[in-house]
Amino acid sequence: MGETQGEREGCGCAVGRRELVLGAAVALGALPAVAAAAANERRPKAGDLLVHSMGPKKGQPLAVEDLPPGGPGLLAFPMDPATGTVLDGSRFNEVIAVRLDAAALSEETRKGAADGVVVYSAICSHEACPVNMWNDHEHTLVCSCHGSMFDPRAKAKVVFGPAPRRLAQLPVKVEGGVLVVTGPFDGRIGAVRAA
Amino acid sequence: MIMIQRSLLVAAALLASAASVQAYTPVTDARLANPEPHNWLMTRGNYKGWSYSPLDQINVNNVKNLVPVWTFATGKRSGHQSPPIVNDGYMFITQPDNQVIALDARTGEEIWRFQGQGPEEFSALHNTNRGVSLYDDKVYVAMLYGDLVALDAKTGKVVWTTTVANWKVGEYMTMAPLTVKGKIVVGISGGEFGVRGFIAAYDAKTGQQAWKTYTIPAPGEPGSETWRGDDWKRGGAAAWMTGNYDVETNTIYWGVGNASPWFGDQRPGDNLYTASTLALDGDTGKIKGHFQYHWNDSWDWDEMNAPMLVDFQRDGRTIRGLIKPSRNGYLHWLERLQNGAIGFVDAKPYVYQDVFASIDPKTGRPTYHPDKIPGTGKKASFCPSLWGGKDWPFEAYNPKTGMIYIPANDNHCGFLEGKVQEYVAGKWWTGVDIPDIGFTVKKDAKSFGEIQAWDINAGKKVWTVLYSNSMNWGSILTTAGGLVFNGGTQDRMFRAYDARTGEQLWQIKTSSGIIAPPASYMIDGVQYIAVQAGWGVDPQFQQGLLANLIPGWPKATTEGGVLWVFALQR
Repeated sequence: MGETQGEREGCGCAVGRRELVLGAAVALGALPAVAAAAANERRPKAGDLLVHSMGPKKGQPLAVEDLPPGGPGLLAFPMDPATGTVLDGSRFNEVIAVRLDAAALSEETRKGAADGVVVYSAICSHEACPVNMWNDHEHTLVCSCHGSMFDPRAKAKVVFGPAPRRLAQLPVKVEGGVLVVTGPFDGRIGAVRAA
Repeated sequence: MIMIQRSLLVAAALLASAASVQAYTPVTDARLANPEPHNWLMTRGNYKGWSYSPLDQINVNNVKNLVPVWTFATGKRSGHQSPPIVNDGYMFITQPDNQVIALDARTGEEIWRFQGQGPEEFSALHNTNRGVSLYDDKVYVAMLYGDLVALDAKTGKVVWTTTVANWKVGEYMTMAPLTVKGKIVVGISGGEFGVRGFIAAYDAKTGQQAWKTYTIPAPGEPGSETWRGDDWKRGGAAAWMTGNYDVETNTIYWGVGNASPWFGDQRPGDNLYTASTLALDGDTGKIKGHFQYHWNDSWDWDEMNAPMLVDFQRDGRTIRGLIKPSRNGYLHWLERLQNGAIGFVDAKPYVYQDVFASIDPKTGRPTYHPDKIPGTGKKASFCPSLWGGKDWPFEAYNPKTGMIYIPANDNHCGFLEGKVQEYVAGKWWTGVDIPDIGFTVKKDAKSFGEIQAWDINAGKKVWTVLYSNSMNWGSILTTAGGLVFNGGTQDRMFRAYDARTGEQLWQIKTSSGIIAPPASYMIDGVQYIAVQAGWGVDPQFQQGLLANLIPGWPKATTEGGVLWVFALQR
């Protein structure tokens, strides 16, 4: 019901039957207040660069050569090239890039890939945990909470574990050896839940 | 028009049913110290943590006639781990996703529902909740994302909210709070994220913090000498399960979890108070004593469950005791000393354990086989696995049989090899990636999950129930009717056993796997057994691993929460 971050504090969320009816009526008539997102919270878009989100190269542009062929992947945040702002104000912007054999990618996956590099949301669709691990036997991306596995060759579809749906892909191209975003995430980020 | 009239009628009926619930009986210190047999006022039934009901209408002779009298769908998936808390006709249950529901405990009519609103970007390693605590006219519940909330017991309206834990650094909450003399005591989770654990108490009326005790001492405090340099700042020691309380000595016994990261060579020292039980002053939270079950933990063996407060006999003497089937696979008999110190009495393995070489008979301190200690760049296997001889599900004590009942898991082992992981606030930081957590089962194993009954005075196992096709993730309820109730298996069964012999007397196939503690209560002369079904979290994850190891092991148990309430067929 028009939930925003600011309203969470002291939320009177108990819902008795009468309140439920009244609350629904109020919600229908009232538009939720939308707080202005900070510059580093917006979602990635075409033209953004990707920069390492940890490790010795933290903050530097992610180059194809940084990625070990065949995995594991590396974590990155998008960066606005005009302002140099790293979009790390939202953990939902973190992505994981993996360098694979381009021929092994499904046709759909290849549309958003460049030089065999695929980039996916690093947020699991189950409980929104980081997908920042790699299974070297299955060659899959792995969630760091419940071990759900995603096939990076096939749009990061779920191949194991409780995750209900695939990870969103972030389409990229390669310019001067570094990765550049070519469009928004192609799916929803995070978990589907009431609270 | 007809539709509107019908809606009005329905609304009127609902209001009438809500109004039919009797007045709310305030919860007092005296009631908590001596709970009426017909109620279930706290998670484990009493302050001593017995998970025992003095009711005996349902007993060994008639339990075969137990039938469901009503059920209630919670609308949530993921692991349901809270017992029904019952106070004179009101029942409170909690679910994953920060939900609390109040029901008429006799009819199952919903009275109110509270839905906590967590931040969108919160991630949940354990999307679960283990129940409410009660005081006066309020209900207290910990939100996954770190808030403690007080609700009006009759309406569910928020009375106050206090932020306890900072989810952005990996702190979160899943336990049921403990009410002690007008304060609401809670502990945090987060041992896999490099937190520094703590236990804190809040004024039940106002939500103001009364005290906060870190489970890792700061430099200069007693115990700080067991840490190197700055390791204590991210040393883990989460306190993620509800404690027990000794009314006589005003002492809270609270369990402390694993050290962080998981590999001991990355934080040399005993690392107090990881893998310990703390004895805290009930008014101030001051540490009065402790017992560490194993030093420099390297196996992710949390000792988060508080021991049961049970008096037992040794060498002709009655000992004011503590008994704890520990995650490290040993069953501990300890002594509550008057000054709050915890003395060691005895310990013996209750599942196959290959790490301890010996236990000091005076102090209880173990020595280790060096090849069983995983380290950084050093792979080692060990039994039991990180889930231990038992995880958090509650054991029970029945004063009529003099036995404790342990939901145990045997014949599973693990192997780990550590690496140095870069610390990133709020992210997994154990020194090992999830795909590299080794989990194995013994090749010739004929069973995995168990219920073990031990005579507390003789220190001997009396009977065992073995499950060949499942682990046991179910808390035990035992009753004066001579019964032991337990779910916990992936086949969705809920079962009753003879508490003296272990003979199975009754079972029913429920809607999902049962990993929530059962409770018992009585209204209008009818005894009820109530339990939430709802498989998820660790049992589900472990089930996936087992399905990869054992041909034919079921890959999944259906999710979705349902409260089941049983009584004798009339």
